[in-house]
Amino acid sequence: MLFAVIQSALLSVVLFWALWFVLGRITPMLRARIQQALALWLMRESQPRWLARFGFQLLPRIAQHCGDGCADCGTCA
Amino acid sequence: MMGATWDLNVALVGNPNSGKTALFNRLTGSRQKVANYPGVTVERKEGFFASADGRQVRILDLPGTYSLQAASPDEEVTYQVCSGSHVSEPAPDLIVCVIDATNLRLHLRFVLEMLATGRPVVVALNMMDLARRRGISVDRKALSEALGVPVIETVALKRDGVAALRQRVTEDVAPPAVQAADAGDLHDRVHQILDACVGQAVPTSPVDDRLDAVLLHPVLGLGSLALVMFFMFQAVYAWAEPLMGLIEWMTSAAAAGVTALLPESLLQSLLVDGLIAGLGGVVVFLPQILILFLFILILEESGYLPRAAFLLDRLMVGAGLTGRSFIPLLSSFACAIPGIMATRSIQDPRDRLATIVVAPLMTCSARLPVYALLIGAFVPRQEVAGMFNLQGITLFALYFAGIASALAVAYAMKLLRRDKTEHALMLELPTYRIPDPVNVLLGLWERTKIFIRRVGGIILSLTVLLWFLATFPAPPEGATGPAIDYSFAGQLGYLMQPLFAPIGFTWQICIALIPGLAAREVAVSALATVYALSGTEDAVTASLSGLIATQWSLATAFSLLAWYVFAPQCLSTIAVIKRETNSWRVTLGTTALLFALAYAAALLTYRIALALGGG
Repeated sequence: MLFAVIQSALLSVVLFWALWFVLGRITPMLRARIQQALALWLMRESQPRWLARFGFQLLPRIAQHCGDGCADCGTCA
Repeated sequence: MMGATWDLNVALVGNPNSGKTALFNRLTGSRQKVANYPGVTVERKEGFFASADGRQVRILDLPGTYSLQAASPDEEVTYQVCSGSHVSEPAPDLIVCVIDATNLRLHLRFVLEMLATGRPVVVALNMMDLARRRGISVDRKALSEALGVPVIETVALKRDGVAALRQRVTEDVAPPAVQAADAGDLHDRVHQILDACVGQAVPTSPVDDRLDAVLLHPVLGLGSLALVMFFMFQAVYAWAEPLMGLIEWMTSAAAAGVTALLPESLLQSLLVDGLIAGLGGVVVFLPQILILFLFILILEESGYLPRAAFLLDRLMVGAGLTGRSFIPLLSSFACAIPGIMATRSIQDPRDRLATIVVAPLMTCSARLPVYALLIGAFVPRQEVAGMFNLQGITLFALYFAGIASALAVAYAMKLLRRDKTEHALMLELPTYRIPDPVNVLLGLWERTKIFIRRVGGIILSLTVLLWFLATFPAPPEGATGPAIDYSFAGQLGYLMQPLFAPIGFTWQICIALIPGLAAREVAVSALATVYALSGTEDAVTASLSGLIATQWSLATAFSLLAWYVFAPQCLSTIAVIKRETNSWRVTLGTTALLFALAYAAALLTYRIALALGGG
């Protein structure tokens, strides 16, 4: 029973990470929009402070400087 | 670097291949790509260092240019930044002009142009070690007085002079007296400075001259190039074997260990059928990739590659490309993305477009695992003429097929366009250098890190998703076939099969093509996962190579090889084509063309192989 619970939790986390990662690679803008929407929802005033802090951490980082081109994205082999 | 601020903004400028990026790496501790040929840097890069007095100094590495009158998109960036007209880049507080001490006649001209802008300039007199070896003496003080700006001697590859340069850029530098000059004046002034400050025994290096007599010879040169390439592909197979065997053994041991440790469950299936089978199937090809890059790095460091561009210029112009296409196409052997970006150094938009369209046809390193898997499974390991191995020859032929198809496509584009004018290749040939072992090792380490990052990132995540799609939903009660037949992935594979059946692809190959869209080598891990999930216990422990050797026909294997020569399915490449051309028409046209070529080549190969009894 314990093994089944741990297994389900582990598989869920791994699958979510994989989906999130692939989404970021294939459609980075869509993932950034989802991330931003989630972060802003967590940062609403009605949310507890710790959740708001987590939301702030979740805000997508927007690259602003040179070298932002895909030469630096690490996609290329 | 987010929200970075700085006290001093310094731009590194100079002619191509003067050592700007090597100096940038030394000043900032970065690891940007450096090579012994012009045109490696095509976009600006920034780095930082803290001065002795605690100020934050920003260093900007700009693409090399021969003149401030920009002729290509990468040179335009340098012009805009230096003139202060760039939309998002402030004008630099100080310009460090990096010049090659072995070629001052060319490089001083650019320094004089830069002085005419009136901005504060420091000159980094680079490659002084090579200059001394060639018997060139430069009177640094006299040069500094003649130019009216500080001159610092440096050897960027060996750190020499870097501390002095760091110190000098943080001190106040007065703007030079502005002297407007036309091209003729610049030429005369360069000669005056050379007469006053430089002593040169012979105009060129005797060693370079002797080597060039052979390596640039119309017949001997091409023969040497073919020999180098042929040896390279032979070595990929001959040298990698022991390491590949070790990785395969480790993968099997890990699978057996996890199977023994965990009860039969979804978690065990994810670890063994998904991660170990999938990732192990790709990691095994790392030694071959590294051997290939060892050769490329040595050739890059030695200064041979621009000579190869010179040798192939006639062939490339005949095919509708230009000698300038050589470096972007060569970069595409690592990955089409930097290759397509490197086309920014091509001045003519028509030549640039042709190079962008054919760059994905060069065999990128992500295709190597697919080639190696199929060659290992279907091409016997036998000697040819007592000294070559057949597998190496097959790999050479596949790389050659990529080059030949690129030339054919470029030639077709040349026939279709109205403008038939050709542009002469003007290329600076660098001095030959013995490759620095540290640089080569660092380059290999960078390649290893990129590969491991891909394995731990996109390949791992796609393997996990594929495992999920190939495992769920579970088969209905009383089902007799393998569970994967009833899964999402299995259903998708069967759905796609009618489209790919004429070219001999099985439903398993059809499944592997989908994650291969994100990264080509994922096709190998996907096949490993699919076969591990659809097979017996033996399938888990047996190598993927052995499995497909027994389950596929020779015609199917060759058809897949032909497909991968054109391999249209790389989303990142398609995205960078869109970015560089800013045209959906070109992007979609290129994608459709590559897909049609891949399908036609695979169909032709499959039918011929069947007719010859390869079914």
